[in-house]
Amino acid sequence: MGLVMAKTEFSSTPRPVLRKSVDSSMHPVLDDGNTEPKPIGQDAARFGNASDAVKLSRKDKPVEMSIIIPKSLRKKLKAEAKKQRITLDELITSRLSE
Amino acid sequence: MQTLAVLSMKGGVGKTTVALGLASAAWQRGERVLVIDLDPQGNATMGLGVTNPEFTMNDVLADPRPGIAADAIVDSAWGNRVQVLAADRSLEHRNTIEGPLSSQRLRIALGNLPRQYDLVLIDCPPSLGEMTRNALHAATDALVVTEPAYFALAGAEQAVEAVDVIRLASNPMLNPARILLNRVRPTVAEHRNRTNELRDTFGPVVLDIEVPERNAITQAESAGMPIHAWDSPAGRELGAVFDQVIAIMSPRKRLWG
Repeated sequence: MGLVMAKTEFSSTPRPVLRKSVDSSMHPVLDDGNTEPKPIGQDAARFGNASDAVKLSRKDKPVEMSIIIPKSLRKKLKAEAKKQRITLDELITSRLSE
Repeated sequence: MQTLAVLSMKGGVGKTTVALGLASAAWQRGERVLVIDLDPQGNATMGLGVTNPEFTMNDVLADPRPGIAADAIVDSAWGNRVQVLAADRSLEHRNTIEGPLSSQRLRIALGNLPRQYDLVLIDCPPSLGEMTRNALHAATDALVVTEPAYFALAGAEQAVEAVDVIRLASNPMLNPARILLNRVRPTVAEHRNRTNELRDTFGPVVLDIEVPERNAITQAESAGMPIHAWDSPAGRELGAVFDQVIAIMSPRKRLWG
C-alpha cells in the first residue's frame, strides 16, 4: 500500500478585508450631507486682531464670475452656507478651491 | 487571555492613564498587549504614539464582520509587543444603536483575536453609551476608575451598576467590576474622607492599592513612553502600583513575586 498524502483543504474565497467607513472623514458635529469640515482659518479670519488668528490669504483680488446652475442646487448651497454661517460666495469659493 | 475594560461614567478621572499604566506593566513583563481605544478623543492612541493609522475603530465598528479588527491593528511606539486599535473623532459616528447586534459589534469584529494576546485593554469613553456597552460585551473584566471627589464617586457607582446589568443580562463571561482610586493625595482631608466613603459603600470591590497623583504620569504620557521606562523615583513608584493592580486584576495568570 502506497503512502497516502494528507489532503490540504483551503477556502478559495478570499478573506474579507476592512474598508474605510463612508463617514470617516466627516466631522461628527456636522449633519448628514456636510461631509467636509470648513477649511482651517475660515472662522479665525473673522477675528482679525486676535493674535492667534489664522488669516486667509488676502493677496488675491476678488472678481465676479457668473455661472448657471440648477435652482435646486443653488437652494441647497444657500442652505449649506447658512448652516455653516458663511456666505454663499465663501462656500462656493471653498468648493472651487478644492 | 483576559479582556479588561477600563471605564468610568465621569470624564477626567484618568481612565486612559490607568489603561496605559496597565499596558506598561504588561509590557514590562514581556507580555503581548492589545489596546483598544474606544474613546473618540483618541488619547490612548496618542499616548501610544500612533498617528494617522490607515484604519480606526470607526471603520471596524462600521463593518463589524467576524475577525475584521485584525486589519486595523497597528504597532505602538512602545514596540510590536503592544499593539493598538486606534480611535479618532470619527468614532463618534458609531456611538449610536446600529442594527440588532449593535452592542455586540466589538465582540464580533474581534473574533478570536484576544487569544493572540496575554492582555487586551479597552479604554472606554466617559459615558455609558453604545461604545461602553460594546466594551462590556467584549470584556471578561471591568475596572472602574474614579478619583476621591464627590462627582467622581457618583459616576463610579453608576459604572459598577452598568457592569452588573450587562453581566447579568447578556455577558456571563464578565466578572464583577472592581474600583480603582486614581490621583489620590493622602494628605488632603477631602481625599481621605471621600476614600473612606467609597470603601464604606463598596467594601472589597475597591482595590486596596491606590494610584497616587504624580507629575511623572503626565510627563511619561506626553513623551509617549511607558511609565515603567520613566526613570525617576515617581516613575518607579507608579510602575510598582500598576504592577500590583494588574496582579490583582488577573491573579490566575500573574502570581505575584
